[in-house]
Amino acid sequence: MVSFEGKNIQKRFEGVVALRDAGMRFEGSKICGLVGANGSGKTTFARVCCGLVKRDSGTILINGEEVNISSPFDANEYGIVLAHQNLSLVQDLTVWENIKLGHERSKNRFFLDNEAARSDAESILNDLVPGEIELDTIVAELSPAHKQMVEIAKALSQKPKLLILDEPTAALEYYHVEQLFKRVLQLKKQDVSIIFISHRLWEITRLCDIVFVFRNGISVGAVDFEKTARDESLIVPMITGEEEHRSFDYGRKPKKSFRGADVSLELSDVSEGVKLRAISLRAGRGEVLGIGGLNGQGQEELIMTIAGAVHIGSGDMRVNGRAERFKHPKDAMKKGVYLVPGDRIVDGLFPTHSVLKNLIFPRLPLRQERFRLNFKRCNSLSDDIIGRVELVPPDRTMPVKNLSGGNQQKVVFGRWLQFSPTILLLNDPAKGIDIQAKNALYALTHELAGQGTTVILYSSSNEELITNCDRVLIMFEGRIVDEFGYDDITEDNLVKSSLRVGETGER
Amino acid sequence: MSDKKNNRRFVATVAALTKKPSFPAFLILILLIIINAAIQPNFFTMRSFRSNFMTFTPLILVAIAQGIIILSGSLDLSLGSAISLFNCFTAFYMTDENGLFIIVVGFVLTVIASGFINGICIGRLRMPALITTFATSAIYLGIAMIILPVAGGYVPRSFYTFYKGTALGAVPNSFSILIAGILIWWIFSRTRAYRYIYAVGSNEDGAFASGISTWRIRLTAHMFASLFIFIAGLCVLMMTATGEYRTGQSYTLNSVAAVVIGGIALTGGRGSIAGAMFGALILGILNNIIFFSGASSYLQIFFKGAIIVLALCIGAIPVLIRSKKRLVGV
Repeated sequence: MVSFEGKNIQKRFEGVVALRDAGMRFEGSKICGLVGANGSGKTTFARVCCGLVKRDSGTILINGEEVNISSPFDANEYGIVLAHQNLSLVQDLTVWENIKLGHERSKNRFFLDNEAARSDAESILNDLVPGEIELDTIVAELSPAHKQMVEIAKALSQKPKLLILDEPTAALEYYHVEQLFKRVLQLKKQDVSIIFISHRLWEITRLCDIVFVFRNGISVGAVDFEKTARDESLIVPMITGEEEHRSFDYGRKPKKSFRGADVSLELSDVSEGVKLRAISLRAGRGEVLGIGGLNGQGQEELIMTIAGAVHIGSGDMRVNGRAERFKHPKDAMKKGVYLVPGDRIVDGLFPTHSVLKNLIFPRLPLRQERFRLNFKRCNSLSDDIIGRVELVPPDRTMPVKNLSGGNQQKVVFGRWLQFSPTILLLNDPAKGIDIQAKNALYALTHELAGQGTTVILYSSSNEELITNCDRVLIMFEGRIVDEFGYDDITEDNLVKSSLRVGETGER
Repeated sequence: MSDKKNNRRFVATVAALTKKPSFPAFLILILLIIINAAIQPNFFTMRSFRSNFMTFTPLILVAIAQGIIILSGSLDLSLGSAISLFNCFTAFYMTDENGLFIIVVGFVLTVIASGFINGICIGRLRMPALITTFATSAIYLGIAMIILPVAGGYVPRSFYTFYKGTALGAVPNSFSILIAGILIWWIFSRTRAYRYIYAVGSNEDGAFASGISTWRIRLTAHMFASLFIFIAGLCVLMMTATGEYRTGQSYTLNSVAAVVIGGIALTGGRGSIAGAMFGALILGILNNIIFFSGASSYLQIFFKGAIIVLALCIGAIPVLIRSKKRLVGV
C-alpha cells in the first residue's frame, strides 16, 4: 500500500460520541501502532476502516484518492481486512471452514472447492502457528489463544494490503506473541501495511514503526519510531492526557509481614483432573496473594474452585479455619468469599440492566433483602458504592452495557464492597481496561486488604503482580511451581519461573 | 501392520460418529426398528416398505425443510398450514386435464407463502420467527378454509395411483421421491449458501463481519425449505387423494419434533440434516409400533413426547459428564 489516510472521522452511537476527530496517515508499508485508553475509539476506528460501521463524517484516502467504504465488501475491494478482537469466528464450523468463511471459492460456479480451501487454510496456518491447530477441529473446542490465531489466519487468507489487528495479543501467550510478530514483520516485507492495536506498550515499542495515540475519540498525536527512540515514555503522557506517568504512580504495595496465626484461606492437596494438581496454599488476613504464570496453567480453575463454581475434586479447603466444600457459588458467598470473574460480560454482569440492579443483585441470594425490596436503602447503598469506585458517569440508572469496559469492571468490583469480604478472588481484573480504571481498582483492592480482606489475585500481567502483591505463586500445568516473597517479586523472577527457564521440558 | 492402522482409523471414525449430535437419534432409531420388526411380522417386505414410505416421505421432507430453517437460526410454524393451503388449493382447482398446471401454480404459491413471505419478514424485517410464522400459519390456514371449507375436491386418479405405485422393478415411487429430495438437499449442501446458513445460525454477528449478508441467507434458507415443503405437500395430496384443511396441521410440530430429536440445536447452527431425517423416521416408526402393538392411537402422543425427552436426555448426558465438575450453568 502506497499510502493510507483517515481524516476527521466522526462517529456517534445513540448519542454517545465514539469518534470525535480521529485519523491517521502513513506512507509505504508500515507497522502502525494504535494505542489509547479504553473507550478512546480504537476499535471503532478499526471498524470504520473496514466498513463494519458507517462513519458519520470524515474521509478515507487510499493512495491519495478518496474512497467510499460503507461495507466489509467495499473494504475488501481495497484490501482492508480486520482481525476482530471479539472474534468473528463461527463456533460450530471447523477451523478451515472459518478461515475461508465469506470468501470461499467455487469449483464450477456452484459447488464449493473444499480441497483448495483446506490446503489454502493449512498453508496460512502453518505460516502462523506450525503444527498446532488441526484443520478439522470445531472452533468451539479451541483454546482462546488458538481461536485468536484462527481469527488472524482468517484475515490473512483474504490477502490484505492493509491488515488491522485489533488487540490480537490480549488472548495470546508470550510464545504465540513472538510467532505473530515474526509473521507481521514478514508481511511488512511483502508490502502489507499493518495497524496494530494493543494495550501492551512494550509490544508497541518493539514492533511498530509509528504509533498513533487516541484519546476520547480524538487523535492526539503520533510518535515516529524511525525518528525517535523506542521509548514508551513518549507515548504514555498522550494516552493519559496528563504530563506525569500515572500508569506507575500508585506505587508498589508497601511491605507487610504475616505470621502463621491469622490464616483465612487454606488449601491442602486440592486436585481436579489435569487442571489442578495437589494445590496447597495458605493466605493470611489482609494479604494480597498473587497467582502468576503463563495463561491457562490452571489459575482460573483454582480461582473458580475457591469460589465454589467448580467442584473440589479431592483435597481440603478451609476458610477461617473451618473445612468447607462449596457446592454452589452461593455457599461461597455466604462465607464471604466473593469472585470478580474473568469475563465480566458473561459471568459478571447483567449487561442490559441498570447499574443499580447489578449492584444490589447479590443481596437477593444472600437474603439481605426482604421479600419486598427497600428501594430507598438500595438507592442510597448503590450511590455510596458508585462514589467509592468513582463510576463515570455516576448514574445508577445507566444500563451497564453502555459503560466503558473499565467502568463495567468497577460495577462488578463494587458490588462486593457492600459486604466487607473475607476473601476476594480477582480473576485477571484489569484485562482490557484502561489505566485510570485499573489504578482505581487496585487502590480499592489495597484498601480492602488494609481492612483485613484476603485477596487472591490472578493476573496475566507481571507488572500488576509486582505492584500489588505481598506474595506470588507461579502455576505451571496445574501445579504451584514457585513461591516468591515480597522481596523476590521481580519481573525477572516471574518471567523465568513462568517459562520454567532451565528445565528440560521432561517432567 | 496396515490392518492395525486401519483398525485404529476405524475406531477413531466410530468415536467421532458417537460425538455427532445426531448419534442419540440414530441409536433410538435402530432400537425402534428392532422393536418394530419384532412385532410386525412382515416388516422387511417390499409391501410394508412401500406402505411405510408413503407416510414417511412427507414427514422426512418437512423435517429436512424445518432442519434447514432451524439451522439458519429461524423457525417455521407455518409449514403445516402451507401444506394445508397447497392441499386445498390443488384439490379445489384440479381436473383431469389441468393437473400439472395447477401443481405448478401450487408450487409458486407455496414458495411465495412459505419461503418468500416468511423469509422476508424474518430476515429483512427482523421480525421474531416464532410469532411471525405463528401468524402467517393462521393466514395460510384461513385461506385454505376459505377455498375449501369442507373436505372434498378432486384429485386425478393418475396422481394417487402414481404415489402408490412402483417403478424400476420394485422401488416404490414414494421412496424415489424421497431420494430425489435428498439428492436436491445434497447438491445444495455443497454450496456456499448452505455453509452460510450454519454460519448465520451459529454466530450472526460473526457472519456479518465475515462479509455475509445475513438476511439474504435467512431468506435463502426459507426459500429453499419451501421447495421441500412443496414436495411434501404434493406427497400428502397424492397420499390422501382429497382436499382438507386439516391435512397439514400435524406436520408443523412433527417437523420441529423430528429436528429436535435429531439433535439440531433450536438456537441454530449446530446439528445435521441427517439427524432431522433420523428424527422423522423415529416418529414414523413409532406410529407403526403403536399401531401394530394394538394399543390405542392416543398412546401415540404420549410416546412421541416420551421419545423426545429420551432423545434430549441422551444428547444431554455427554454434556453433563463433561461439565460435571463445573456447576455454573448446569
